[in-house]
Amino acid sequence: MARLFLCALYKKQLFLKKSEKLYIKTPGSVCNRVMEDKLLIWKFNQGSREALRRIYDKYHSHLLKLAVVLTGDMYTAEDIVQEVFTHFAQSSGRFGLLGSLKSYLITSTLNCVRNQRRNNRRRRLQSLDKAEHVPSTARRPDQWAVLSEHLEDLSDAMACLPYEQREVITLRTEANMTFRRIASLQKTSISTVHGRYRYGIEKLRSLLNSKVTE
Amino acid sequence: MKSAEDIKRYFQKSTLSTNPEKHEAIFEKIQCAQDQLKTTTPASYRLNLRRKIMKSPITKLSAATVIIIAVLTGIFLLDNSTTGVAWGEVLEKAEQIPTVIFDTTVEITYSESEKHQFQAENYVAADYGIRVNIYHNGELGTIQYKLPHKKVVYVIRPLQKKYKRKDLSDEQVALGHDRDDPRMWVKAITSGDYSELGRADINGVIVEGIETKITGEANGVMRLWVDVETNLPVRIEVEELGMESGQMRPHKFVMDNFQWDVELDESVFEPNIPPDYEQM
Repeated sequence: MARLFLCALYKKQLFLKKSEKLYIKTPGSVCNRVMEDKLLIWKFNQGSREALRRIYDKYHSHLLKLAVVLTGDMYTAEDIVQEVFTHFAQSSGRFGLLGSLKSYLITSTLNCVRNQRRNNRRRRLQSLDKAEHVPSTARRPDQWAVLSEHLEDLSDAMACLPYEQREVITLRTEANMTFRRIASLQKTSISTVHGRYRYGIEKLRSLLNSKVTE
Repeated sequence: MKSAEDIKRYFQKSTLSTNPEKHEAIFEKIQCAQDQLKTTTPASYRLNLRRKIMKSPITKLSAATVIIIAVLTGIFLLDNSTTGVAWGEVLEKAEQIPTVIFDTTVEITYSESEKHQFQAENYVAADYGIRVNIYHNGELGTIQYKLPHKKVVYVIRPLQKKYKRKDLSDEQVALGHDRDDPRMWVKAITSGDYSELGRADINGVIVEGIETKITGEANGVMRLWVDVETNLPVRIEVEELGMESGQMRPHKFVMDNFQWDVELDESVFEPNIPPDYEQM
């Protein structure tokens, strides 16, 4: 069984990109992460609960942070990340991946945020949590994540930017995506993405500066 | 902040931690999705199996017997059920009511001898929004108007003769949960792993209560007391640790004096800021 597994792993290595192979011997490198992920996906497709657990533990906080910054709301972010992992879990046994798992999960999160925004337009309910500090200062009682003060401030400031700018800044700064990749995700030109990034950073800078001086 | 690099550093400093119990609970749900996949069999297979079973007269008779026993057991259980609050229906009923007025008391403990307390009157109307009158030491210190239909929030401080206006994006309006709306708390308490507190009398109203623990850093408890006759909330209590002035401090938060389904005029939700008030 172990030999079969190693054999399968070796075959998978053959399909890795050249740049990934170069990193194989470097501990803690990007490729170690990629290799570990490929191994986890292989196990996950065999129905391994431990693999799903490891993937969840490895990426949940990163995805939560992304979702918080994109939505400006912890409650929504939690729902989104749970949905991303639930869909992922349902693909067990038939999950195929060409790129990196991290990138796949980030894109799934982004899609969920976009879907959620579309659905929200249909809703009538009011939520002004971010609008003003209210008497009920208590946190939401059953929340999954506790944000640092920096993340709360950042999320508030990001909520003041147009969504497209917010997306560009988050994907560039937090997910380390190239402008080309972001342009392809936003179905727009690279120059538009550059512009969104520049304007967004300017606005964010002024918002966070005023926060610091308060 | 002088460059995009500074913003990047700000992103790096922005972290979050997760509540371990909630983390486990969410993973269990995710794992269920994976497990369901393993146990799901094709519909055609289930249909064939059903056909095979129902062809046999003995199996048919056994199935009929099982159904009769199940029905009789159900009737027996229903006959012995006790009357009380139907917890599953509390939120549903409260959500159908368009208006509610209630009071809030917040107490933050800084030390044994230093406690800060303030009260608020809350007006919630689905058609107009939320108004909160906040009293500090018995004086009306702040009035907040959250008007989602007009996409705006006003904060007025009568003592200082100042006000603040904040426009809301469509997104903020649409998010759909407000901590000043008691229904959010009812949802949190009834959807949790709650324990029953039994009956009590609150100002002459017979109520039944439940309690849900708040785990993690906040480490506290939420209680919901519901009128046994109307099935509507009478009192909501939250005790937990919350961040205040850079330190985790005990917070006590009570919502009571509920008046459900009262008539609220639109004028209640009109800020009417006097002309001599300055913008903050």
